[in-house]
Amino acid sequence: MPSAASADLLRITGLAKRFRGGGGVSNVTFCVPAGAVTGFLGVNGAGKSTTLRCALGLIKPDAGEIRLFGQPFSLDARRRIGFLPEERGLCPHDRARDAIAFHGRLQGMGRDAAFAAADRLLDRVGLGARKRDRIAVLSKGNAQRVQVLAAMVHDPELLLLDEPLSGLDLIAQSELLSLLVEFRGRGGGILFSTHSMSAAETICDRVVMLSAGHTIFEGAVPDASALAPYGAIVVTTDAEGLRAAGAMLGGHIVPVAGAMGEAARWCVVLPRHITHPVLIRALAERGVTILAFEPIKPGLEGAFWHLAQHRPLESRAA
Amino acid sequence: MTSPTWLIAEREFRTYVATLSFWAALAVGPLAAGGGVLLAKNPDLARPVTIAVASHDASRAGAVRAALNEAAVLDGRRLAFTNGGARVTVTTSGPDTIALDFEAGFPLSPTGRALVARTLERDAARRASAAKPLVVQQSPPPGASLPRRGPGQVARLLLMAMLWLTLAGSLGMLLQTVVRERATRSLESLLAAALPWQIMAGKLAGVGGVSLLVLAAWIGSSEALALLMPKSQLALSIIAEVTRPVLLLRTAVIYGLAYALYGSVTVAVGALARDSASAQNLSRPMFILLMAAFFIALAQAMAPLASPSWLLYVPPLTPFLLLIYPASALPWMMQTGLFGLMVVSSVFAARFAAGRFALREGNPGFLGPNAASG
Repeated sequence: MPSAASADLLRITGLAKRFRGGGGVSNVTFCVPAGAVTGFLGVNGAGKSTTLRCALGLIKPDAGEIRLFGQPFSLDARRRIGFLPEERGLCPHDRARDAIAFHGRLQGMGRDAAFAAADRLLDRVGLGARKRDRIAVLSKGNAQRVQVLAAMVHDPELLLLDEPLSGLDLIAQSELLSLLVEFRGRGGGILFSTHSMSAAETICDRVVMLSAGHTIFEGAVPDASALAPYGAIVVTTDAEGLRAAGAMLGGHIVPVAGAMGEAARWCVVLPRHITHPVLIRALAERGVTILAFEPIKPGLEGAFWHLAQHRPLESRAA
Repeated sequence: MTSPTWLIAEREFRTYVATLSFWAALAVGPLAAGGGVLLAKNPDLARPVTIAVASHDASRAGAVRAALNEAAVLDGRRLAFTNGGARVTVTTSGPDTIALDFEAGFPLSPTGRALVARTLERDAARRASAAKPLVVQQSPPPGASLPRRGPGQVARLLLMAMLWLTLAGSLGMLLQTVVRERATRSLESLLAAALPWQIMAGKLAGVGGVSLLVLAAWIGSSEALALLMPKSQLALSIIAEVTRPVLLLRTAVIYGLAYALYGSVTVAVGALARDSASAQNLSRPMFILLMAAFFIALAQAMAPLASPSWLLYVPPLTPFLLLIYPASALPWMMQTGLFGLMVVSSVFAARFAAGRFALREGNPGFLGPNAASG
């Protein structure tokens, strides 16, 4: 484990990878320092998984540079990484202890050392009594914890986690985040891909935001949150009425998502002195049907939508 | 440090061996063999059947007894002639006609009874013509032709059928494990720590080990139990044939190469498929080919061939046909070439499969949606 220095464990510059069927990434640039959790945020199809696969050498990029631990990509460097794929990737017939030790041995650990490390990790997360249980009988949360332990068993310096919170309840999420905080405390670097802005705000020191295959932000969480606009998210069928009301109040609207039937979700960006009731009154006076109204909270979510608005909606959905 | 290939093989092996269904499958062979022994030890079949031949003419009764003995071989029975037991009455109904009256429930099949009649007619005709002993010559002479009958042929047919059975079972397992790991993306965890060819070789070795264990249990138990069969000369001859070291070694090499070829193709099919449904669709032509190979080999075994078939040079058929043809019937140069062909085909298929295993395009399969989800 490295000291908690500011050295970059992973640096990606100008990464591009396009697939035959569409999708991929066009220009991704960011770094993952040691001793920090870096959130990797983006909607489905933004290119998060593609980027992680390129970083691991599973996919050959079309362009760009990937440096691991300050060096060009190599198989030896890959052994210093722990990787958690997006879905539960453990063999259901394996016992928890065997599954963790198997991944440790795959990464070059000796048999005894791998089983000892598996026992130690399982005890630490409170699963010591269930180490002989098969993965198939574990709850989703416990299975996910075993999966994370399998990624950590060989004591990597860098963890690449693809949607580790997917499908977990709040308690399981909290336990998993504690495990990651502990890893960070020992000087490890984490790249943490997630849809959950609230989870990212809880655990991440920094965030990288991806939209339509481009990096749209990289920096500290407070810096990102500060970029959140003031305004509201409005779902309506009357886009023109909404646009006119927003313009009358000195603001503007940007689409947040594609249409849901006749309705669409819009972000109404307002000057800070315009209160939300004023916006509602203006919409009511114009007869705009409001299906949903939600003030934009200052935080990563608002910042993300604000930063992503410059990307065409079509490519965002790709 | 243990090789990733070995680790993956060990895990595949343990995954299957840990299931109850595996042990059930393993027990099928010994149970079937045990059933066969019990059947063979059935007192009704093993004990001589007592027969009484009633006739006023002693020489005619002797001829009938000889004919009955020949026919009993057809039914797999032994006869003991006494004054009691099942009765057949021989009567003269004309100067050149006799009648055989089998009592109800006489233990001889209709075919056997017909054979008794034909044997008596043949023997009588030869006696009447005072014919000299007949010498039967085979054409072409032994050694120049492909031996087609006897324990050797049965042994080769059994080994060929076993190969088909082994492949059919293990390829299904192999397909399942590849598709499952691609679908759950656990393959990505493996690819993050091992090279594609190591994963593929590990899977082939692990599933192959399971099949080998089942095969060894089936053949071993069958042979062990066959040794207990009472006076089964055919079984003993087949065992003697199968356990010849040279034949065993040749068979093992053919099995290994056939598994490498078909296994690699299966891995490639599993790697191309997005889910189990598309994998089954994609693998169907391969299983049809496997079935065709079995029947082609069977047809070759039955046909009176004087020279090896060109089908030997079709790689998917080569292992099956090599098992059918005795080693002595094929020139060594030709055999070397055929083994070389199998090696080249297997290596080519393995390279192709390893290439499909890698996530070069990030897509788990061309039949499914893009996997680059985030």
